[in-house]
Amino acid sequence: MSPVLRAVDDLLRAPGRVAEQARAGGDLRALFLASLAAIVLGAGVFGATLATSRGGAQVFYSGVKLPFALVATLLLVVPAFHTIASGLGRPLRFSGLIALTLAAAGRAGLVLIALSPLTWLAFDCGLSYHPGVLLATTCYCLAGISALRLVLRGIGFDARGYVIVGLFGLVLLGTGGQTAWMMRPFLGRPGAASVPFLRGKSGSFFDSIEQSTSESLGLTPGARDEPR
Amino acid sequence: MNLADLGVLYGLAGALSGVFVYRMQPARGARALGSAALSVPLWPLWLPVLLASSQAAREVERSAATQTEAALLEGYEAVRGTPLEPLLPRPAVDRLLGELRRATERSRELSALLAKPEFDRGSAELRVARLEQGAESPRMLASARLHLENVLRLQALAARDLRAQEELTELILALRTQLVFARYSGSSPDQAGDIVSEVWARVEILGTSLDVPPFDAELAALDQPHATL
Repeated sequence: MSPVLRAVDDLLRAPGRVAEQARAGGDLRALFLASLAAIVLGAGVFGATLATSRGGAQVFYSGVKLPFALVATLLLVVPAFHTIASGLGRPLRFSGLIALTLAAAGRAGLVLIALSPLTWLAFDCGLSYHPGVLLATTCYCLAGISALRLVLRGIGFDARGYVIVGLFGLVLLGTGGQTAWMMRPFLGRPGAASVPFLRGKSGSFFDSIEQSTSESLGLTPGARDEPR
Repeated sequence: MNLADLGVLYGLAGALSGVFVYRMQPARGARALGSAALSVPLWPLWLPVLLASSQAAREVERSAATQTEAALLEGYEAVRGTPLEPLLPRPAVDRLLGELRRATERSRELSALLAKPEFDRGSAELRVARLEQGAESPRMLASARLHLENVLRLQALAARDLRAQEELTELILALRTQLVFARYSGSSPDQAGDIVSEVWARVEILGTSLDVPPFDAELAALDQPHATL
């Protein structure tokens, strides 16, 4: 078995070994490549599956955009993760931290692949737009939990480890949210006449959260049909 | 600076990284090209991993001797404070470690020397052939032949040292397992004693070449070939 395939196997079946490998450093190229392949394949398949609710070109667009958004987010957050971990007394080699983060995202990608058939079935059975968004969010959460466990194995299952991973999670949430917001739509509305690759610039991810919160609390009149 | 400016800067850094990665690969080919192509869009992630991996590979090469030393020390730890200790007393371990380090250092020096273009066997042979065909002076031809002979002798010496080192490494690994086995099984130390004797014999072989100053005569001849004629 080639080192890359063995690394994919470890991502699935031996996350502890992967975390140990990332911590030890050394030759991490196989783990890097396996993780990258898992991210691109997993996010691509899941993105395309989400877009089956709209169909057409949206399937291709989402299949390309979701891996791109995930990799772009990782490019932005890994240095911050390194700074947080070092600052809070868990210095890992930068290369090891890159491998650990990518491996976690790769594992999340594999979980997304596993959830894709169920998601596809749900949309095929007529799941509408807003429940579809909720289903996608649930899938992201499940994949995220799986990734988080791998990151914690690398950083350490103790109070300091939880603080480091919690702070990193905040950075990841903000950066990933904004990146995905810039790359939307991923689902697309079934009734929309055309399928844009990217939507026009209209506020930020945080503006959207603020607006949604206000609408939920009944502070402002809502416009709840914005596609995400 | 807007997003487009950042994108251009990122792309430039990626292109430079791609060139750097391609040039640092030991061999050109699809693998080197793929590695360079990957570093163009992903240089902030791929470059640190690649550099760390290269460093790790170099460390592995360097630690081959360390592995042998570790095996020797492990063997000693296995017999320390037991009736088997006279087989491998601490002074003997220290001497073995010293010989191993000298041999490793000498082998490294020799390899570095033979990697230089002026010690290249092919070039030396070509030069002799060219001088033989031409109407050069006999003294020049004799110098070139002496240079070739010395390169061949150095190569033979390097090969012999390497073989002796490999054999010694294998013996030390066997000695370690034998001593560990003898300690835990309570068996006779005779077999371990045989291996210890063989280890010493190998060390003596290494020592015969190590005791000679490293290629003084050969290097002097190579530096000033005419002076020896």
